[in-house]
Amino acid sequence: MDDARAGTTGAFDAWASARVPALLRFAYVVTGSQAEAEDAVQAALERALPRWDRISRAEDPDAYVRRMVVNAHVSLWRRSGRHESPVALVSLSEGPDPAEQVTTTEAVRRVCAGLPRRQRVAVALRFYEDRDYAEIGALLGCSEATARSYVHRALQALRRELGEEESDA
Amino acid sequence: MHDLEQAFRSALTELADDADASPAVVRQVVARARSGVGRRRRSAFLAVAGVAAAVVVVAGGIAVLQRPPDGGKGAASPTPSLNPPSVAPSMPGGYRLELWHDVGVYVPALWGWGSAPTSVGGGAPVLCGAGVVQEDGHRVDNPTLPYVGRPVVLSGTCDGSWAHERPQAAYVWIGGDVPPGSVDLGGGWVRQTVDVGDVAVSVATDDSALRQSILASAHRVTGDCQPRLDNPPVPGGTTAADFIPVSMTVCAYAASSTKLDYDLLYEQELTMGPAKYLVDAVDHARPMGPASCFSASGGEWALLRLRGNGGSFRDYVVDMSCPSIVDPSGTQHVLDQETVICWAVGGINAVLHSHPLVDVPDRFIPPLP
Repeated sequence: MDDARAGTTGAFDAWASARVPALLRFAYVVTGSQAEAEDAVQAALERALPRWDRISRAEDPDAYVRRMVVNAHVSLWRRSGRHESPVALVSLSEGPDPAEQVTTTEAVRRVCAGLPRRQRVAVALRFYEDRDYAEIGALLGCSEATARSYVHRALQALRRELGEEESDA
Repeated sequence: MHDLEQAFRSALTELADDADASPAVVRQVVARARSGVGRRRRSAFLAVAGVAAAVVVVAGGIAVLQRPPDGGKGAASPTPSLNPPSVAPSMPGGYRLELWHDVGVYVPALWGWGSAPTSVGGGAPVLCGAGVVQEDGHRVDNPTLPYVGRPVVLSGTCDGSWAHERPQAAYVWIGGDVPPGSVDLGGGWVRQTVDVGDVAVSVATDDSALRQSILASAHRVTGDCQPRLDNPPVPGGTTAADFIPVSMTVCAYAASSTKLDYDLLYEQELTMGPAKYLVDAVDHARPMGPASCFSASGGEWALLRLRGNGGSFRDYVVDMSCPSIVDPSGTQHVLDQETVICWAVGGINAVLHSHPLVDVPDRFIPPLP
């Protein structure tokens, strides 16, 4: 292995060990599935590896690979032609009202599971990553207004979900 | 609304904590990426093959889809996987199926092809392309012609005032950067947009029955072309000299914005005449030298699948950025008048951009300034 290649490999390994855990968590929020999250990250890394020299010189290699994760996820989902709706996993958390918190958490997960893929990505970018709408639009390849619309519809869906639960109770 | 936003933040943070991002998993994912081992849940996408008569239900009975009487040149519509609603208003020529990515929409068969709003460089969506492409490929700068538009840049002149502008003719936009909902354009005209998966479908017309029937026909669908490819299409199938095709499917693709894969832009089914013409044209086309660019990534592509009897087939691949057409033996040929005119009909001329070396009038989108 020549010096340049060894250097690239070392740089990629260092970046991967530091950043892939966060990418996996982000991908899990986007997909709702461990297997799909791993697939999306793997696909992004496969694409990134051959051009890592160029990517690593970019201003923000994280953003570049994150965009690849988003696109890999949408691509894998489209190719498979199916949409896996994850079972809501209940994890009790500390808070003033654990029962209410669990109900809301489950409602969010159900809403996310039912969203079209790009809308779900927009929600993850907005509320998990705190991205502004311009960044979300750039990542999804749509306008800021459309990104805002995706998130707004998700909020409306959660309101309906919570409202239905209240009426069911 | 603030409480709902906070609910999302809390729940998604919890969800993220459920992910297994342990060092062992990270090592495994990185190792699989390095070795190119197939992803765990990936499944092969099998395109549905088969050719059938395109039959649509229209008000008052059943009608066979027909091409425009003056420009069809033997063309037939893509194989439908769904029908427009039985309440669809009767239209001259019936309806045809238009595909974009994995979404299909039935539109009136005589409508032309045009553009739809697209976000260029992340800015506000603009409409880039005056004029409506006709069945024979030439474009007419006449705002009174109805059309189906895709988010493709057709000209260097873009218009950002489309959102509330009342059109002079009806249109359908597939994949446009348009939020869902209805917009009153005045004078009885309404543009209504719905999401079908990730694809927005918009219809603007002053005919509410037509608008509703077109929107109701929009569904996720798989035609003969795969909606998305990992890599550019490759030539294949029989090289037999006595191969006689009975049909041809045209699949147009372009690299996605990240160059990760290739999206289906357009699909069309053609009959035996154009298919036989293409075989003869390629056989007689000048082979290109070894310096050609076949198998380059990115760009725009067309997969031309010719089907014969007994399950035989032949795939030609057109690389618009080279430009060339490649036969199943891997030999490249020039893209000239003869190798283009038989398959570059209809809407493909509103999705693929021409190349300065392709000197075929009225075919493809002219090179942009």
